[in-house]
Amino acid sequence: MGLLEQNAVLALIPLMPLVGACLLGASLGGKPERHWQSGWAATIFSATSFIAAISLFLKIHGGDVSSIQYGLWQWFSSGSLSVDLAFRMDRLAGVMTLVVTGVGSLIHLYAIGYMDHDEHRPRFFCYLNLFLFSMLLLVLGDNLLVMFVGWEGVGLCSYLLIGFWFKDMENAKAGQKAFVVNRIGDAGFLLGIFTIFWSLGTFNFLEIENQIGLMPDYLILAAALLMFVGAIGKSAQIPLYVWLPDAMAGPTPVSALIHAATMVTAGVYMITRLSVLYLAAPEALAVIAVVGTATALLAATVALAQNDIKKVLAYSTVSQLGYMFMALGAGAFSNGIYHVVTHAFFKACLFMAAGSVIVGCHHQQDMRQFGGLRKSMPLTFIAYLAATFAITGLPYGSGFFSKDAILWAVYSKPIVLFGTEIQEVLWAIGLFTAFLTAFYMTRSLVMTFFGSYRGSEHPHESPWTMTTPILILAVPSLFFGWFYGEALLQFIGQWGREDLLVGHEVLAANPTYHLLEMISIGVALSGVVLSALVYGFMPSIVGSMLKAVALLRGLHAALLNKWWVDEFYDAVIIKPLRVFSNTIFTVIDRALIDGTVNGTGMFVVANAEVTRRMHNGKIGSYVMLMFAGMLAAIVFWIVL
Amino acid sequence: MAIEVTEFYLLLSAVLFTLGALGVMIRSNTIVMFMCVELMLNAVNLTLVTFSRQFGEVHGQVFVFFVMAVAAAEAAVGLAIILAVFRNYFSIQTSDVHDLAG
Repeated sequence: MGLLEQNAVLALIPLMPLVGACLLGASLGGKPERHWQSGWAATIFSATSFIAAISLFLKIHGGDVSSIQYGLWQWFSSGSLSVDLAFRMDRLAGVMTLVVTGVGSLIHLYAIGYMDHDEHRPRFFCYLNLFLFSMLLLVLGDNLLVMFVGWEGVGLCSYLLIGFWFKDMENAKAGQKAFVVNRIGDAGFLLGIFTIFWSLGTFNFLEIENQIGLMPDYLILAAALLMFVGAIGKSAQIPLYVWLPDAMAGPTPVSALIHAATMVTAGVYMITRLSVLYLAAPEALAVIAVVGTATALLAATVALAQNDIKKVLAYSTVSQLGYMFMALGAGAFSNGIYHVVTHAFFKACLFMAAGSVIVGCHHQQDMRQFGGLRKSMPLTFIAYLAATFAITGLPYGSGFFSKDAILWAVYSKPIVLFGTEIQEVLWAIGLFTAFLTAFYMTRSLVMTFFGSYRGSEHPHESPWTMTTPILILAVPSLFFGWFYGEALLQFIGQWGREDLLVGHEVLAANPTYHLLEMISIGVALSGVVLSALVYGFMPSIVGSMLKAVALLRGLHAALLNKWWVDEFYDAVIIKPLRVFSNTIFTVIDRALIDGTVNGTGMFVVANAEVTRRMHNGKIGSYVMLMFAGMLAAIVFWIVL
Repeated sequence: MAIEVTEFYLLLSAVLFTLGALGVMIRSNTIVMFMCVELMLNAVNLTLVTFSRQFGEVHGQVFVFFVMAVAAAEAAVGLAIILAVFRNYFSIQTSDVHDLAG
């Protein structure tokens, strides 16, 4: 294959899902008995994209080329500015593309089974393919504007898919919430893009990397913080994380694809892509580390008390995203991406397994109605067990490696905020969060699969289209870190800190690292064991402890109500905004503007009521008035 | 003596003009109103001729010719309008034509 054709494959990666989305969109309104085809079509388009991504990735992996570029056409030009619709795949984008298309294809396959009886399947798969297209645009775009189009596209698809069952008002509202909250972040992202363009006059990533030295420090800091606002919105960090738990209103494949594996990691990817900018602004990195740590802790605490299995996983996702931002804040960008990859495996697996449980229990999501499902759903159980093992950070699961890499990165890097070094505090919070993670994940595992069945409907195992992707993802959840973790870190290592790329063997020789690793294993183990003891053998102890200790009761209420953050936002932002808008509406719009317009009309009508009497239709009187007028004019003229 | 003649004609012209004006205002037969308009025009013509004689200049008389020419054209247009009105309303009384009454 010649160079030209080889690069054209790059454009094929995002275009395949777009073609799929267009075809599925054109097929809307087709015969219901043909609807089953839509899922397979979408899966095939997605898988084609995956195969194309592998073929190009192998070229980069083999070291033939460091990056592959392909420009479709010039998008627009104005003066000296020229923006191309161009794609570029380097190591970072390659890894992300593989995750997006690979996990995406598996989730497409899973969705065939999950959405089996839905009458709007073609619309669903159309959105799903459109999402994949937008996400690939975001990942592969070679300048900020193409990335921004993808960034907005995934937001749109997220909105469409959360509100997929829009006949239920709650789902439609959740979609709106996600969209509006994301818009706040997008505004920051856009301002960040403007700042960079204003200073450097380019949108191209390579040019930004080369010319970053020309940017004054204060603009770098401003751009870095503004872009981070965008990441906060998209990747659900404090204070804009509130949309993600509500987004669970969407179908479960959507939760797995968009709200766990791919879209929510867009913020991490974007910051890694612009790591040059962030390395030049250590204050911004410190802010990111603090926000990430706070989010990880807050979300993990809320996940402790949730009873809806999808809500537990949603808060777990927010918490894990917090870990990724901790890594970014410590300057360990490749470690952040490492966690993105492992998280994509085990969290997509968890979500799909949860979806399998939900379908198997006839659309029941409350974990109090589950129990003992390991007997009736053995395949789902195995996958959920493997993914839980990975996320809890028990030794040699993939989460163990990526999470430890993050904790070590945070511990070993001086993070200075307001003149104090806070990395040890952040590390301790991260460790405590790891304990909470182990605790709540084991809780969900035990409540769902162990004990005896508490529901009323008869549970059943899901069809092969659903169990296959789950089991496939369970494999890398367990073994990816062990076999490929270091290779991945080395591979994408051109981002971030060199000191972390020495490999696990060398790091393990460092006594501090070794100690921290042992502590981390101990913490994860104690979380798992404690949770298993409490929920597996003494489920009544929670209730009696809550009854006995008032403080615990209060804490439990706070966690159950998610620290009342939604209520707080409602009281502090939404209600005042409503009142303000209403005031503006009544005073300015109704009284002032409408008053002026309507008043003019009413004035004319009232005047006409008087003057129209002069038009009596008698020519004689008109003539008389005319003569009177002339006479008056003459008299006036003579007198003056 | 000449001054009295001038005064007499100016007086006559004023009387004619007033008659014409009153006729336009009071009568409702459009043809009569039309004739009254002619009366007013000719009253003005008389004034012009009177002053022309008084000051020994021809300007006034030249102007009268213009007025007569315009009046002839106006008569043609006016009669055509009356004809059109009659065709539409089967009447030439202004009291029957009051579509634009407010």
